[in-house]
Amino acid sequence: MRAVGHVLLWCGFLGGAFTAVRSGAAPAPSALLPAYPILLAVGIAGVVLLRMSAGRALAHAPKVEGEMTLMRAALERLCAALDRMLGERSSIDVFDVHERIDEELLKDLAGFAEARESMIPAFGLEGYADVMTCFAGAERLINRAWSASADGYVDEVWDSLEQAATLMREARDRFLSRVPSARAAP
Amino acid sequence: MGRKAVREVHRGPYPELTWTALLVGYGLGTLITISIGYASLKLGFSIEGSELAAILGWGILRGLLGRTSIVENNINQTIASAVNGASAGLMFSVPALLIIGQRVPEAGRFSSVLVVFAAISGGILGLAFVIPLRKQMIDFNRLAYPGGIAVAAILKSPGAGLRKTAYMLAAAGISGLVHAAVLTLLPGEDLDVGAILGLPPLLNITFYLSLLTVGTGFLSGRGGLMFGLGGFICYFALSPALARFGVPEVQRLVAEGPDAVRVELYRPLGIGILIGAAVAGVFAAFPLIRSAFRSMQDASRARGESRLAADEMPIKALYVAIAAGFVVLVLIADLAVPQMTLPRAVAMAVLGTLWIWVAGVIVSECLGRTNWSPLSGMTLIAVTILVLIASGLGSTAAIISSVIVGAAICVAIAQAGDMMLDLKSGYLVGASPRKQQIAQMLSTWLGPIIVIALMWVLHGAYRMGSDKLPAPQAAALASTIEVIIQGDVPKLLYGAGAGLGAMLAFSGLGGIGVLIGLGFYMPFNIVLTYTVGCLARIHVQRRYGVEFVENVGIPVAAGLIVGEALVGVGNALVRIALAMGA
Repeated sequence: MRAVGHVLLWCGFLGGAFTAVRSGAAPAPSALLPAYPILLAVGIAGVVLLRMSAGRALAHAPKVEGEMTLMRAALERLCAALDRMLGERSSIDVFDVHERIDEELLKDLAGFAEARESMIPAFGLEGYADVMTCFAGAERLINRAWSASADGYVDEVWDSLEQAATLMREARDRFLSRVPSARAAP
Repeated sequence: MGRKAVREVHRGPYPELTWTALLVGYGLGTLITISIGYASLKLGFSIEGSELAAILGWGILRGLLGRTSIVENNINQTIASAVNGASAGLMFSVPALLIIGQRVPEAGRFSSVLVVFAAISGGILGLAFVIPLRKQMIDFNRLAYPGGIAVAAILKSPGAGLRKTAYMLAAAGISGLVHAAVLTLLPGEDLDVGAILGLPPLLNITFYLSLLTVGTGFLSGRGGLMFGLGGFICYFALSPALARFGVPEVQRLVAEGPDAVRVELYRPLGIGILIGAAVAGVFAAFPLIRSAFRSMQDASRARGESRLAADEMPIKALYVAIAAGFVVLVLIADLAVPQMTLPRAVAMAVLGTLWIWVAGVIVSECLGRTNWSPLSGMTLIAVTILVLIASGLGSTAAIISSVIVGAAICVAIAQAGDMMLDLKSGYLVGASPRKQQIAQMLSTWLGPIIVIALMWVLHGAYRMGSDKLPAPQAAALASTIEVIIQGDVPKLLYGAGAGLGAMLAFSGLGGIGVLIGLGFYMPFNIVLTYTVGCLARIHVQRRYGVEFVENVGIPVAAGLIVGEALVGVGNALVRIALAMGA
């Protein structure tokens, strides 16, 4: 169904684009008839098939399932790493924090971000936005802690990391609260 | 050990939106606006000033003033690039009145004060519309904004470690040298590979010799490939088909060369695709946008409770800014010419405001996905709409009122794109979006004053449109306005493109409509070189992994952008100096 959807979409698009330009820069409206509306309809049929196939793929998509597992693990590791760094605050040199961020957080931040779109079929757009609001807020505060560490602003480093940890836990909780319903979906 | 001994630990708040950042930003913004504004009138191209502002700010804030805050320099570059944002908007539009005014003197007698107010209100409207989209474009969709990544790489260089900084500087050096060599040793900036391979000219296989373009493609990665597909559809599918099956006039156009086909056919169709895709994209992403608005409303209620809440600009302030901007736009349209009627002024302001929103979304998304902005195309549509509304006033009054309101729209769109680029670099260095947004708002007044003053000084000295001051973009707009007045607008291509763009936007294939539309709109030489960068990212990531891309690829790509941008500015200044000496 997905392949047919692509074929129809691209036939509709290419045919529609060709019909539009073949008569020049100022074609008479009749030059677009009847081919353009028909081709547009073909393309729209392709869009419908693509959206239907995306919806069906959700029900039994091992890729989505795998990426959900990956994201869940990334969030758990991020929360743990942030808590660990906060727990060691008295022993970490402020100028070393940005290196610790690079070593302990960067990979999981990138991994979660890379896989994030799997949340859309699983949670819907609003659920995706809900999790991403917290995740992005946490990531921005981690970036701020990175900058403050490079510049040596010690209070800002720990303040930002504390708030990042709170937001990351919130992102994890929001993510986990939606996972069971996603798995129960037909 | 030695490093820790010499570096000072600071207590207390992290300097960000400070008087120092504001004043240095205004100073650098003025310098960059005069240089780039002058360059755009002399040479016809505008240059994005963020990288230059970040590097100069780095030198001034850290080197001269002994400041030590990455996010403070980020505010400095936000302000400087916001001041410069007016030059792209105004230099493209207002000089057209001075050029037309040499044949129709009434057209040259417009109020500069009104233009300045139009530009300021336009800038505020553009910002107020685009700020609520920050969450959707940066937090949720995580658009790449290659220019923003390059600026963030410069800002972060004090802490990025020697190796990453060395990669960036080496790449910047190579890119700058290559660009200087291309500019001085070659007759043009293109490499016609198609001609070397003996392929038909209609396939248009010409590469733009620009490592900056390769770098932006690399930073966009797989996500940018559809931009390339748009260009391939034009020259590998449509052009051969048109050469065979087009009407004779179109076949002549194809024989004339790829540029003629692009300007006459693909560019208007691309503008239509961009509009359709952006408007439909807003509908398709409505739950995300609603969520972003809700989050901003929650933030304004929960102020003080968390850092996240305090980091959002109050949504009510944006509503007030939109309402005030709209009212000012009505007044400006009404005062632009004595013949203006209130209903017509309201109609111009309503459509102008709506267009600022639509075009702001288009430009922000294009910049986010590819680093290229269809600003001139969006301004063209704005002026077309405005001229059609004002056409009953007589051609001169229609031209004056349309260009003045059009200038406001053009500045609005430029500010919207610049804001999103700055918010991306801000995200990467951990800046407060609220402080960046306030900084940008505080800078909208300065650029228009500088640009209009510069324009009058230069017009007095050289005369706009003369050999010494050709103002190529404004001259093109002036002739386009005359074409619009004669009613020769490719409306059907815009409309047909909009239908196709909307169809792609609803396909669920992320951002494909905007990318393909931009591929139709842009010259294929840029698209091809950009695609090389995208493919390089995919290859490097597969072969060496994500970590290598993060640690080596991204600093190198950022350096490629920075080096060429700096040589570009230097080249513009040298050419101006040579032209003045001649």
